[in-house]
Amino acid sequence: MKYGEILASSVPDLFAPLMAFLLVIIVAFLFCLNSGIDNDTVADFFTANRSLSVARSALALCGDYLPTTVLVSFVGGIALNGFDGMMIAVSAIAAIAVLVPLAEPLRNTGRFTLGGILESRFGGTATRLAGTVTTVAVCLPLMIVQLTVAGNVTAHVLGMSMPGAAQVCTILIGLLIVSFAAFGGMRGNSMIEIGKVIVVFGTVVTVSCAALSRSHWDLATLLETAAAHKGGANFFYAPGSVYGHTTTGKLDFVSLCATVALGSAVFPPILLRVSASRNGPEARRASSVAVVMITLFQGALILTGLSAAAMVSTSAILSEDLQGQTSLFLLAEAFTGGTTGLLFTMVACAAFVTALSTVAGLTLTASASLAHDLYARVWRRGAADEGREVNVARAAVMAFGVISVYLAVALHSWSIVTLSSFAAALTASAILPALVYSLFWKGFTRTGLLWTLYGSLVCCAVLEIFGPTVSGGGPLSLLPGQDFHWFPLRNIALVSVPLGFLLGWAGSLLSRRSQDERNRYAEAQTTLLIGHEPVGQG
Amino acid sequence: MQRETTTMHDQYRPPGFRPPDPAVAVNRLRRTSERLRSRLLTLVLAAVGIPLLLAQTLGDGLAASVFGPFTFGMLTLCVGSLAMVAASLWYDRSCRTLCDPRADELQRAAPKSGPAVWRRP
Repeated sequence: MKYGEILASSVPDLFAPLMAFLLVIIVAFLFCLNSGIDNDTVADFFTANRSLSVARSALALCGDYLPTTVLVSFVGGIALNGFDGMMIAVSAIAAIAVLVPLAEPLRNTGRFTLGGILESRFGGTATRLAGTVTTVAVCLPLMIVQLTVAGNVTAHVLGMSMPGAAQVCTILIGLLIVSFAAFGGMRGNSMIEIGKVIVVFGTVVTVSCAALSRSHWDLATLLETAAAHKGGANFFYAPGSVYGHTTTGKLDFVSLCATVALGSAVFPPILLRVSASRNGPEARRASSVAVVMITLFQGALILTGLSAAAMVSTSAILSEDLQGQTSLFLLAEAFTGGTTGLLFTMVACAAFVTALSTVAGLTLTASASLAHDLYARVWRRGAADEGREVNVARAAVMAFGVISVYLAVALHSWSIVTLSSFAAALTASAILPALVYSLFWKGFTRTGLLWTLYGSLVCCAVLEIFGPTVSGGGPLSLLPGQDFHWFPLRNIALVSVPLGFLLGWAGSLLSRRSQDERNRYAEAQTTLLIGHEPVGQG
Repeated sequence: MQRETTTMHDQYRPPGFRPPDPAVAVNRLRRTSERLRSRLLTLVLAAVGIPLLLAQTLGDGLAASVFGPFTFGMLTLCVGSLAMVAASLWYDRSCRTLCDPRADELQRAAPKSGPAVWRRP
C-alpha cells in the first residue's frame, strides 16, 4: 500500500485519541513559538540563558530520564519478567543518583556540549572534534530507536495495522518534532519536558489506581494475581527470567543493569540540561530533587507493570510485541474495553508527548554539538558571530532530524535492540570515563582522553557487531538468519566500561602532561569548585 | 555567575582578622567535596550492588515471602531505592552546609587575589 493511501484510509473509533494528539501538538507548538521569540543568542537557544529554576530543572531532568523506551519497555519488562524488570527499574534510579555528584562540577564548567566540557580541561580542536563524534555516535542511534518506537506506538494507538503505516507515522511525527526543536530551542524543549512529566506521571498514577481499584485497593491481592497469572510467585518474583540461570545469563543481566545505571547517567541531552541551571549548587539541588521524582515515578511504573501482569495474559502481550512494548496500551484497553475510553486516550497522549520531547531533546543536543563545536569552534575557530551560529544550529537541527527520520524509515523492519544497546554502552564506556577523569583526575592527559573516546567507540562497535544482538541471538537479532558472533553477552557494558577507564588510564600514563595541561587543570579545579564563569561562551 | 549571598562573618570579623590563603582554602574545599562525593557513590553502589549480588547468589531465595505476598527481593529493592533517595538528599544537604559557604567566600575573594593564586595546583 502506498503512503498516500495509508494517510487517506479511515480508522474507526479514533476521535478521542486523534483529538488528544492534536491538542498536544497545538500546545507544544504554542510553547515552542512563545519560547522561540527570545532565542537570539547561542546561550538563549541552547541553555535558555541559564535561567531554569531548581523546580523547572528538576522536572525537565526527570523528563530527560523518561524516554519513550523507558515508558513502554519497562512496563512490558516488569509484566513479563517480574523481579528482573523491577531490578532494571531500580537501576534506572541509580542512573540519576550517579548524576548528583557530577551535576555541580559539570554546570560550573560553564560549558554545554561534551566537546566544550572536555575542552575546558584540554585545549585544541581535537578535543572538540572527539566530543562531537561521540555525541553524534550516541544521539543518532537513539534518535532512530525513539522514532521507530514512536511510529510503532502511534500506528498501534491509531489501529493502523496495514504495511507501511508505522513508517508513515514515523515520518509525520519525526518532521513535526524536529520543527519544534528548531523553533523552541532549550526553552521550548524544557517546557515540553515539564509538560510531559506532568502528563506521564498523571497517566501512570491513574492507571495504577485503576488497577488497584480492581483489586479492591489491596496491593497484596494485586501482587498475588500477577504472580498467579505468570507461573506462581516462586517463578515470577525470582531472578533469572530475562537471561536465564546460566553464568553467561547472570553476567548478561549484571551488564544490563550496569548499562542502564551508567549509560543513562551522562547522556549528552543530560549535559545540556544541567548547563541550563542558574548555577552549580542549583544544578546539584535539581538533580537531588529529580532522584526523588524518578523514584516515585519508577514505583508507579512498577505498579503499572504488575497491573499489566495481573490483567493481561502473557500470550496477548507477546502476540503484539516480543519485548512487551505494547503492555501499557493493552492494560489501558483492558480497563476501557477498547481504544475509545479516557484512560486509553491518556496513555496514548502520554506516549506521544514522551516521544515528542525525547526526540526534540536529542535533536537539540546533536545540533548543539554540530553547530557550536564543529562549526563555530573547529571550522570557524571561534570567529562566527552569534546570530549566524544560531542559524547554523537551526539548520543542523533540520538536517540531523531529516537524516534520522530517513534512517528510521529505512531501518524500520530491523531490530532496534542493537542500536539502543550500542548507544547506552557507548555513553557508559566513553562519555562517563572521559568526564570523570577530566573533572577529577590530575594525571589525565589529552592522549588519554582521545584513547578513551575513540578507543571505546571502536571497542563498543566491535563487541556489538560480534555479539548476539547482531547475529545468532534469535528473532531479536539484527540479522536473525546469520550467526558469526563470538562475544557471548548481549549487553557489552560489563567489558566495555572497564576497558574505557583502562584506555584513559593507559593513554595518560604513556603520554607526558604538558605545562599548558597542568595550568588548565589547576584553573579547571578552582572553576569546578567555586563556579567561575569562563571567558566567552562555552 | 556571582552569587549574591552574604554571611554574618562579613559583618562581625574581629580586628586583625586575615582571610585564609586562597590556595589552602581551595584545597580544603576540594578535600571536603571529594569526601562527600565518594561517600555518596559508595552508598549508591551499595544500594544497587547488594540487590544485584543477592539476585546472583541467592537466586530463588529472593522469592521467599517476608510478609504475605511481599518477597525478600521486593524488600531489598525497596530498601535500595530509599537508600539512594536518602543518600542524594544527604549529599545535597551536606554540600549546602559544608561546601557552598566556603565556595561563596572564595568566589568573593577571587577578584582581589588575582588569577595567579588560582593557578596553584
